[in-house]
Amino acid sequence: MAKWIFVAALILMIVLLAIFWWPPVKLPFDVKPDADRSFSKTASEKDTAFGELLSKDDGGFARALKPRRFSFPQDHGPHNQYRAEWWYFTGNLRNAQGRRFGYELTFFRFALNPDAPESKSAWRTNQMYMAHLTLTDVENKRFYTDERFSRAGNGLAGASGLRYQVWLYDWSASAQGSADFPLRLSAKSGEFAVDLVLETQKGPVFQGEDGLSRKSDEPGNASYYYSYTRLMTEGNVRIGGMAFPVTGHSWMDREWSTSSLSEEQVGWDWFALQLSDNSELMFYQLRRKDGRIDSNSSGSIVQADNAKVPLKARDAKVRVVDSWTSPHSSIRYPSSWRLSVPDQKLELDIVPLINDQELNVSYRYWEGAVSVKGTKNGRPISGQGYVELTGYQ
Amino acid sequence: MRSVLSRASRNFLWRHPWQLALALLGIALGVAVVIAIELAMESALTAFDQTRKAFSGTATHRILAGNGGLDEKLYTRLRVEQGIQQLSPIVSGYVGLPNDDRFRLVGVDPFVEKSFRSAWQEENSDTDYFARLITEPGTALISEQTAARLNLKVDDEIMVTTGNGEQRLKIIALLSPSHAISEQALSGLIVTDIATAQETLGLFGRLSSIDALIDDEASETLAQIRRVLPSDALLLSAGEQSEAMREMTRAFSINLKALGLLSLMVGLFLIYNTMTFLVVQRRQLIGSLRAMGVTRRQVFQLIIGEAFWLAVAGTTIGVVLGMALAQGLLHLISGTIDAFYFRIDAAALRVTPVQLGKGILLGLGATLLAVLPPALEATRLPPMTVLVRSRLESGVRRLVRITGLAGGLLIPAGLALALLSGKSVMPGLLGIFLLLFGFALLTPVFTLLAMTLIERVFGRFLGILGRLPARMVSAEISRTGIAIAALMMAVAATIGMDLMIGSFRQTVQEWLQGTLRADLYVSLPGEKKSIAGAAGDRQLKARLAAHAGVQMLSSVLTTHIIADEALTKVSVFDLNARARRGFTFKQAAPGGVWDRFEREQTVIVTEPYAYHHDVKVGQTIMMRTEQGKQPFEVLAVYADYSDQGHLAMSRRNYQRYWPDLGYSGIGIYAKPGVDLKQLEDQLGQSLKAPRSIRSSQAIYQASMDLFEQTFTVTETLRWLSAIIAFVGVFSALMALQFERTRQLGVLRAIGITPIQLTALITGETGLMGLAAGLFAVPVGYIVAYVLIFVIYLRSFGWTMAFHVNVAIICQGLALAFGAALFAGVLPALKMARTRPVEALRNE
Amino acid sequence: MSKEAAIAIHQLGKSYEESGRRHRIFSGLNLHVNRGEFLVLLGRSGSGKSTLLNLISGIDLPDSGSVIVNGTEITALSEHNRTLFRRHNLGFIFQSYNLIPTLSVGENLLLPLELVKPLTRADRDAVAALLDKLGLADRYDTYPDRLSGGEQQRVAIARALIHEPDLILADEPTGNLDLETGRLVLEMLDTLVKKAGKTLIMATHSREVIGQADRIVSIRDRSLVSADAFGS
Repeated sequence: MAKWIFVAALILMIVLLAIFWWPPVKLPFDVKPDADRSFSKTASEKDTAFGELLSKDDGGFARALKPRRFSFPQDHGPHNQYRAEWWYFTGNLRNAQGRRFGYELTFFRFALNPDAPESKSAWRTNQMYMAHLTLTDVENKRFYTDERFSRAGNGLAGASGLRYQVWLYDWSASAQGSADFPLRLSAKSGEFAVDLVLETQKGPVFQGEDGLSRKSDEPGNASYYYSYTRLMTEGNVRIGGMAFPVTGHSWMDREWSTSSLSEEQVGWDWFALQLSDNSELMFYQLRRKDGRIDSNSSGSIVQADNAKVPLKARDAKVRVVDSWTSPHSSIRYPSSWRLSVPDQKLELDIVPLINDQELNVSYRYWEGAVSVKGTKNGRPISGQGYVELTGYQ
Repeated sequence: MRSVLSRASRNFLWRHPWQLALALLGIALGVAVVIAIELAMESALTAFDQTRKAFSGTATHRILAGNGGLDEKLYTRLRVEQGIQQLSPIVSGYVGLPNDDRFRLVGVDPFVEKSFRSAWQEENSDTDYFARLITEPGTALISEQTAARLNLKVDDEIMVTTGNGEQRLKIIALLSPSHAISEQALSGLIVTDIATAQETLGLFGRLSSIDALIDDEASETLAQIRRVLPSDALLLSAGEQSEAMREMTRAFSINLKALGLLSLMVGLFLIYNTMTFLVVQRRQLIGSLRAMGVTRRQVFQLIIGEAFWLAVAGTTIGVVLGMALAQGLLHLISGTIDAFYFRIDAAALRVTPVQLGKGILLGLGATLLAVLPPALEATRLPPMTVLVRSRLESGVRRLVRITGLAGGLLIPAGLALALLSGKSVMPGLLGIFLLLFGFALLTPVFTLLAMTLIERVFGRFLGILGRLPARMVSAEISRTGIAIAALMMAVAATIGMDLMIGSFRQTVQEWLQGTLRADLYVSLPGEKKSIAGAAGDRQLKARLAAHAGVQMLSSVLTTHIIADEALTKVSVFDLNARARRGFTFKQAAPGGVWDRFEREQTVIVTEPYAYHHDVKVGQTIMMRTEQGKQPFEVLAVYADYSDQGHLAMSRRNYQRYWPDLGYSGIGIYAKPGVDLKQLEDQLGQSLKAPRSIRSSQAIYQASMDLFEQTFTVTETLRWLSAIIAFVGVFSALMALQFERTRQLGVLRAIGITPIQLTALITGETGLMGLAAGLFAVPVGYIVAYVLIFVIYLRSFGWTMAFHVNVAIICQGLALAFGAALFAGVLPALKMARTRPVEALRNE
Repeated sequence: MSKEAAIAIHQLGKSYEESGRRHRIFSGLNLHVNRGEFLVLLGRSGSGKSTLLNLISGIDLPDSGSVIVNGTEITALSEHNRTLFRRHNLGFIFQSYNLIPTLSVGENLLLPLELVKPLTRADRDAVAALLDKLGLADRYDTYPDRLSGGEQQRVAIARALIHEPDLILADEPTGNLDLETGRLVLEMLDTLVKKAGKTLIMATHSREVIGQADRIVSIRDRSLVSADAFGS
């Protein structure tokens, strides 16, 4: 009965086993989760819930009360004492084979409060930037979006009044040379990118009353608003690994204000159309809670010679021809319009290049490339442009 | 049939509740210790990981630099010029609260991508406070739990102490962590905007680190980052960081686990012992059952089945006990890791299935293995045989010789393994186990020898009755041997560890006394990170130097520099001649150290650093500086027991490449004849908290207190294994006495009084204790030797002198003797109280 | 000290508790044993023979009544004194020998002597002489487990006698032995005990013993009856 030896061997074995088996084992549940990437048919890269930051009113900000003298390049730069400001670029592009693309690159600036804080820290600021980038791939009926946020501190985002430059991280719109134009737009997201050079064809158009654009009857509910309505555009767009050399026309809107919409107003339908006769039409229609159109709706026609024809609310009629319900948000948007300006004998049918151009970002809206067909003075006319729909629920 | 059969054995257990309880206790304690160490260690390390995750979220990489931090423009460069997304800049540092709590202040940029999913981003619904956090200076977030603990509400203000002085922070919102892990991680955090963190900590222009979330496949992004990374910064993956941290504490955790295994090993003896008794006592029952036609297999199943349920019950108790124990250990373990490795913010016990599983498997497996030999023995019993014990014993003696031989072989094998296994800790520990095990196997031989000797020497004075205890020990060596071996192992481990700790203590004492050369020390606590804070430190130093009672000063700055591609602790010294005498060089470059230390691009390294990094005198260490990598020659290796290794360089060398971050400590050398107490008071008045002045004596005392505190874990675990050994001896003796009830009854019948019987039994157990104790002394010595010169050297890189302490040996002897004696008292009293007629009836 | 009565048992009562029920063994038992008398105790298994021996030896205590041995009322003694009394005055022989396994044959015999007074050379001689008488002279240093059952019982008898007690109690001393060996043991008891004038009480079934006994009593209905009456 070799019991002692047996026990000895057994215990030794256990000890050995225990020692060698001891070092920590890696198990599957240590594996780290992947970052959130929810792509649907319409690719949407969004960063949620910064929206609430942007929608608060506050006293202490400057207000757009009366027309001002614009001077450039300072007014291409930021107006930090106003609550909100944007640099808005949209455009219709095609490659050599005629494949159509639409893009939007917008920089928003928001002042979180009126006073710039004093600090030795470069990060301390009251200015915050947001940027939206979209690309419409008409052929594949795909719509790509991405958004960015950053504070203006530490050089992470900002705009310059010395030469045309606005940026948020590596997304930027900046003057190529010493002049404001040509302007280079550069922005890339994971799936897509734009890199375009914009050359001006027509000088700035000061919307509203010499650039003061009233949004409601209340004084101060207005913005300073100027546009470059036709910008020759050339460059590349990239989708996935494919780069497409493109040319086309862009539209730039610059607007800053502290408050624009009144209580009764819920949103707007905004049209920026470039017509084949080298004229452009901008018209925004402010919608009221009661469903009527606000009398402060307005717009302008910029003729081929850069002469501006202002449009009042009553000057233009917009009729919704069709509608589309977003599969993402279940929101019903108008999706075809007939816009008529009787005084100009202008009748235009506006149709989105694709329906799904809804930006499911922290502040949801529809902004898409459209094509235009119609008549002017009885003669056929065509065109392209962008439509923005906000405040739909 | 089956159910009656199992009842026959179960009833036996119920009728001997003591043995049942002791068997359960043995299993439970063994399992508990193992589980407790596993859980506590894992929880401490996880706490560190969790805290990192709380503000780094799912970050995969981190860019960091030495204590000076990163230039904040690096972040802009990466974001704006390189267009790298998913980066999170962090400014962090420790701040003190008025109640002496230390919190980690973490400054983040709330606008970074949500994909980081860090704990502060989890707060989902309400982002109103974001604007305030960014625009309003001094605004902070804490978790709801922290607020409740500190009795704070929204809009309350807290005063925090930083290296930058006292600052006021306003709580503007509470974070409600969505799960326990982030709750735990957030409990030690104050979250602010990055600007607020810079302002509060005085870290203008600097970032502590940049976290990055980079896909595994995006190696070009990593390359892109590396291209623009300044030469004083380091890009590490989260895995590397975690690994480095675990690697750092590996030796420590192995040592703890070894203690746990020791407990389990002693526990195994106990389980084996108990189960053997349970079988032996039922020989007659088993014989009868076999006579009735119960098969060997059924008998085997009976025993194993019973052991299984014992194991299940014991392990269950052990798991519960282990979790409770872990709670206590966690505090001690975190304390030690805090003191020696890195700061752990909020460690709460995390019970993970893996750790529990290990313990459970060990408990069940060990019990079943331990019961295998007795179960096999039981099946070999011939039907209806009443075996006479002494007949069995004479067969055992041959076996004792064989095990003794095996033990004699294991001992040199263990010693060889321990001494010849290079630098790794594991074989060293394995060697100790082999040694202990070998000596345990030798124990029966030793016991027989000792008993014969005792009888020879004292027998003639003692008479027949006096000889009986020694005879009883020898006669039942198969039973007493196990108990003695278990006790011997526990006591030897105790003696070994006591000797080691004693040697260590003395070494540290001598080192401290040598090192603390100044009369007074001013400590300037807090992380030294901000250049802004350095000016204040310099002013203070100038003020101290100007005092009439001060002869000279020395100073140290403790900071971190990237040396040889790892963030390394560096002591920056400004020394005078007296301070230099406090260094004990283990190795030094020929031709003097100090002149070159000051003038040339050199460092000296601590002994643990040299050991862990395999650095020898004359080698160079590459350090990252803003001017690229710079070589520093190693001039000497010096004794240091304060941590797991660091470098030391002269202040002159340091300031050539790195920003002045002030001082961590200033040594004051008083002019001769100056009253030190008075000087301390005078200088102390001008110091604002958290700065303080202490005499070298007070520092010495505090250091020794820390030393003792560090060994509390070891101490605790050692006592646990001693307790297990005691339980083992106790249960062995209980069973032994129970087994020979009848024999004791006969003694009573022929006229032995209860007192004589008590003396007889305690005499026997006392002898067992004495044998265990005597044998444990040399074994303990060998264990201490291996611990000092193999295990501790390999684990921590410390060399120490072997100090023999007679008191420890006496203590060990007393422990063994006392424990055994005490364990004998209860059975002795029980037997003495039993009326002989009952004893005689027992068969 | 009464010359006639070595043992006087008066109105002895004893019961056991077994699984909650009281089990009476004796009630009102009386017995007188004269000095030098050889008394045989008969009775069925479980009738209480061993219990009676235990009560006489003071190993066990009665519920009522008294036991007087050699004039000492042992039922009134303390446990300690009872043990000392046993040590000096009693020899016990068990059915299963019950030698101390850890002591050699010689030491087993020396132990009772040592309990009485410190051992002397004479004691060792006495032990050697006794073993010689029993034909176990060469077994002095042997341990009990090396002996046969008969040899062990002979050693046990020697142990019961070595310190020369007045009273020997034997509980079925031949119960574990074959007929031949049993006879040998009985012969020994006869020579060593009866001839030496010691009082012997033996519980047994053995018919052989009955013939040698001075008196035979039997336990019946919790009391003693004379075997003569029982026999006739």
